[in-house]
Amino acid sequence: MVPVTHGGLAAVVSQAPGPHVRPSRLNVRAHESVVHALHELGPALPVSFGTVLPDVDSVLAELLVPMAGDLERRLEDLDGKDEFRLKARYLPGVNLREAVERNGRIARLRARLAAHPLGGNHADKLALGQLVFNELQGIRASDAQAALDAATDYASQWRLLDERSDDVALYVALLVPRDRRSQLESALSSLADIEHTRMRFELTGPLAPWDFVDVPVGAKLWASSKGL
Amino acid sequence: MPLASGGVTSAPRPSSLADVLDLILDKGLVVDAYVRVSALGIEVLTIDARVVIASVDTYLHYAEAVNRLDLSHTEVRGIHGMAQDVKESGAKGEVRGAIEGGKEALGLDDGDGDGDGEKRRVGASRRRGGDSS
Repeated sequence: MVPVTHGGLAAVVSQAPGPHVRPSRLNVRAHESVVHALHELGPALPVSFGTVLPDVDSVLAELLVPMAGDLERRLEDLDGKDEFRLKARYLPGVNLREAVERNGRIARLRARLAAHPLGGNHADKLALGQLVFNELQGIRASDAQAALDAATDYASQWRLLDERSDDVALYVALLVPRDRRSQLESALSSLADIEHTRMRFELTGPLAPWDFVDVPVGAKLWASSKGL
Repeated sequence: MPLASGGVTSAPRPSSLADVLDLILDKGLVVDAYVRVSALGIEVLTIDARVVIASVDTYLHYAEAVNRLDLSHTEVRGIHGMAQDVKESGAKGEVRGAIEGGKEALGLDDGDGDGDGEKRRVGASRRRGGDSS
């Protein structure tokens, strides 16, 4: 592993095993570990897994030299900040149960289908499924908003992450200044206490800023309005 | 080792392979035209992130999930519930076996037997099945 330097920037590179990088367990974990170790030393921009350039000269010519200004700005914005990932989940069956309780039509249709000797007709099943789906979306939206409101007060940027599980209300990446970390944890703790009969919260981090290599202008304005 | 404090489980790092992939895949700086990940491997590893469910299937899935919901206020599942669990876990065992076979065939399994990646697939199939109890 060697640094290729240009001005105040360094790209940490290693000899690639070949023209392609296999996403094996070893390679994937190694890439994440190296980035994590560098992040602990100072602001570091993770490069996408499997990035292979022909030689050291191209690292300079294709990356460091043409992007120097951009890279420096990004590193400056990331300095003193960590990524955290927050996942808010329902306890087993909670949101389904709530959907039935909140919506009388769901309860009635469910009962009618259950009473049918063969489980009911297809059209009724589709109708029930659609009612449940919509009700769950509503439940998820309000819980997601509450969690987001609690967390984003302490994040200079955030990004929603894809998670299609039935039991996940919110999955979000947060970019958190180090001096806001304990406030974030405190706010989430309070929310978790309020919701403890229905939800659990998982916070992973501090991580390197995998989700925040781009710094859109809007986020900077928003962050500065929050004093972050 | 994740810690629980005040209802929030904290973990400093992603632990399973699935968690690491979730963190780094398609993330980070992209240097134009220089991302050279062997495509075949990626397809298998991200298969459950890329599955798209048609809307009719989605609705049937939710109808089934709410139909099987145990709305009684007791923890005791009863014989019928237990028999259902045994039947379901047997079926999942077959799916799990098939996916692992696929990974080995593609040379992605480093044979360390640490079970990386399994948790996510079993978890994902459990969640899609709508039975989260």
